[in-house]
Amino acid sequence: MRDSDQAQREDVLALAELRDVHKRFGTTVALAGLSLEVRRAELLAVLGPNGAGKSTAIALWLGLIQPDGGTVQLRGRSPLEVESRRGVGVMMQEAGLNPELRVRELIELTASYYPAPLPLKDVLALTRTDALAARRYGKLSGGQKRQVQFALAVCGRPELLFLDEPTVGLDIQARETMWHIVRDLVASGNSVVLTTHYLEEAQALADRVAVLARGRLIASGTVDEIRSVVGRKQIRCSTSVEIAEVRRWPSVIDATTDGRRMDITASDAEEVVRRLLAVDLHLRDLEIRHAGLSEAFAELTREAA
Amino acid sequence: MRDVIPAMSASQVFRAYLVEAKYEFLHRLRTPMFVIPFLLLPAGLYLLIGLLVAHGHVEPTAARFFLAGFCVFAAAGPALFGIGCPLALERDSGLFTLKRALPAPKGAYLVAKGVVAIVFATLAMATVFVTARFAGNMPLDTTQVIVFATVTIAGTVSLCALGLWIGVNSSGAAAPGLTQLIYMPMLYLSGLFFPLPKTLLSWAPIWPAFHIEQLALRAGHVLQSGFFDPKLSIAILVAITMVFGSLAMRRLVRAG
Repeated sequence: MRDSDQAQREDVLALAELRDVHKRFGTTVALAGLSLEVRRAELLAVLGPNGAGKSTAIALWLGLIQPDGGTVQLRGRSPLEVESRRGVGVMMQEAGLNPELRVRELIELTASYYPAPLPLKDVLALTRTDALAARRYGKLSGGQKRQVQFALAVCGRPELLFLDEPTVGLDIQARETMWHIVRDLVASGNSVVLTTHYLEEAQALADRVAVLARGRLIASGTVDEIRSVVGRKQIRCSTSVEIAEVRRWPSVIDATTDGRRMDITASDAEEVVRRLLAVDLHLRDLEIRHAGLSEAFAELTREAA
Repeated sequence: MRDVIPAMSASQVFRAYLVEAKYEFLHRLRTPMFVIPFLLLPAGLYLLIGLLVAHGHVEPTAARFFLAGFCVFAAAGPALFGIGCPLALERDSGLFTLKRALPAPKGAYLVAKGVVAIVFATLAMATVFVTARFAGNMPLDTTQVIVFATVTIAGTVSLCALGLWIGVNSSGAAAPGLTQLIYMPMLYLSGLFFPLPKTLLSWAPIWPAFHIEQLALRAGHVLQSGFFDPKLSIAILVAITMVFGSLAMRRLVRAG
């Protein structure tokens, strides 16, 4: 009965929550009233420039530091309670695991912290690390080490995963494999908090994006919502109009060409298209799209600076 | 909606402690920088110098004293270097932070390091005893060996606490050097290897190894008389353990 009550309570609550959290390191303000939550079965990408407060937010959720003000919850409890972290997997940016231990030993060790971990062979199969199982961690390449760290993050069957720059150092195939696994985990009801500098990664994976700057949440929403925050659009076309002339037009922010096609970033795309069609009757391959997440991120963080 | 994540059973928690200790042991065993100086070197040195002892004209009392000194030396290294130095290195590398973020049972990390340090101290001491036995130069009987070893190992807990305190207060690069600053003078100035001149002897009680040896020598009846009050030796070792252990734990809880 108690388990059932607990289950209901956890269902209503966010899996992880920061509410009006303040944190200061000496004279540096790391978080200034940040409120952010991680919902069930979502991938939340936390983005922000260096010093925005991303790492501080994650450290608070993991109970590594204490807030100066506000409340921090992890699975409805204080993150300082080991029980709250039993449903959490972690992949940190810097984690010098014991180089003398073999991969399967590292997995067995980490799995021992969880009440119902995945069997070793399932972890190896899930994370495509079978071939590394008998190798010593210190002998692995940088990308292979990231794969092993990911295996450690998922081996405890966590319902909430914290992934800090998970694909740094991975080749394209390994990165896509990891993306695929992360998507599957979210689809099966797990939640993921992702911090990354690869905006295409956030764009590819995130259900929701939180943009932090100077310790505050400056934007939050789906990738499309964040992109639409920025009024600019991107125009792509094949045209004979000189790029120097296009750059002089009002509302054109930037223009580049690869010799065949021209990419124009504009604050008033319709006006630019009308002008292009007026001066180039042979304009072809015209595409207009909203700004990407990277353009939106750049503009949002510039405004907040 | 998933079920509530089950709690760890007592047997699972116990197993987590065991697995942590097992891999801490394997990690140390596979690290030549730890095994060579702390597990092999004391026995090697004893063999080298013990041969001189075996073939020289040394009194039985001196041979016992010499063996006891090498055993304390063997046990002191893993105890002093086995917890604090790896902790400082692992804090620098991010492993300690990862361990704090993971749901490892409270204390498993430190308990594993402590247990493994004591196990290595015991093994290092055992290698000296075995070397003495096979070199035909074993001046102690089995009971004496067991009592001497037990008291020595109990005493090295104070060195574990001291090493831990150094480790939590220094970086991974500095911790081994700072520990050496205590270890090397302690070996010589505790009078482990040769009787100290009177001027140095009065300072010997500042070193934990001196008290460990004094207690072990008396308890194992290796020497019939000592010159330091055993109750005071016990009090000093307990005080070192309590003071440095609590300072280290306080610092760990506060600063991580």
